[in-house]
Amino acid sequence: MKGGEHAADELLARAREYLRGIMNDSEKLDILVKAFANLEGLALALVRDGRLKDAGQLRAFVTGFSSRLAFFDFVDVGVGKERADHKIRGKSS
Amino acid sequence: MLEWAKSVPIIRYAVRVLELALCDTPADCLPECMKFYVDSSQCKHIVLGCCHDSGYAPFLGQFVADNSASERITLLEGSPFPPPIKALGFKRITRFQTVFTCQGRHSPPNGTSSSPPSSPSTPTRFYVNNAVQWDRLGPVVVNGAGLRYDRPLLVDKALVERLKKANLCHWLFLRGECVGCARNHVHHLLTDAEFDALWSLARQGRCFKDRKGGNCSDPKCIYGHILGMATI
Repeated sequence: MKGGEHAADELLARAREYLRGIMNDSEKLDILVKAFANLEGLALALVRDGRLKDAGQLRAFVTGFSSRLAFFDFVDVGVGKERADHKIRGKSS
Repeated sequence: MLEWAKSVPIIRYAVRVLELALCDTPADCLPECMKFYVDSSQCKHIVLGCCHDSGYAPFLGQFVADNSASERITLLEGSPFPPPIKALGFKRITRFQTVFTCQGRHSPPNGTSSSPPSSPSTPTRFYVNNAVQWDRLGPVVVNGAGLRYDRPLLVDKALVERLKKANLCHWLFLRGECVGCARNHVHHLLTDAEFDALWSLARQGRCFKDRKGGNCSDPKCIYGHILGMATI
């Protein structure tokens, strides 16, 4: 939970800092963040690699991240990477 | 949903940070979302973090030629871009190193087949974080007899305990690189106070050269040096 909140704060700070460098009046802008992930697959991978103890830790992170700032969202897109990638490549060729 | 959002003028958005820095992520939503914001005049800038995956190169390619789009897009680099992404030639690239630091699996520098020394049975993971404040480790300080000692550190005991529990990799978080070990490599960039606290933990292990009676001259050596302590 705390980790997600911290990540959101830090991401906002870095984004603000970056935008200040490339445009005027960036302070007036709202910053929206959308993080797309297959949460189930991601949790499995992180637990497998020993980075998390269990899937609950990722859920807590996501909750913390999404609830910290109004425009910050984690979007769980579920499985289907292959299908989606295929779609992207198909359009471009 | 998107049509609905387009029809509501009161929704003011300006900058979109689209993150896709994590593994196994379906891409369906991202292209749709991206196109929506590229077409919107209210969206002033897009920071896009999906570029570890070369599968997005064809999709991103469509924006390169269109100046009004490409000037509003910054690619966020975590682990180094694969060649198809690099070849697109996007001019704006950035890193948020305190957010996406060392969690990526990096290739060894300047080599495809060369690998850092490790036993053949263990898979090699190479971690690099160029933002680490390793210059705090130096310069080497010596006593009157030319023997090295460690400058004293003011560290908070509670902080030391917390970092001890986090089991952070000393090499990555103090020196900025690790050729692979069992410790934790996932953490935001340390503050100076955290850095010193972790350094104090690393110093509890004595420098090999120091222990053998040799004078260690590595300014980035993270271990303890006590040869010069007696006669500072």
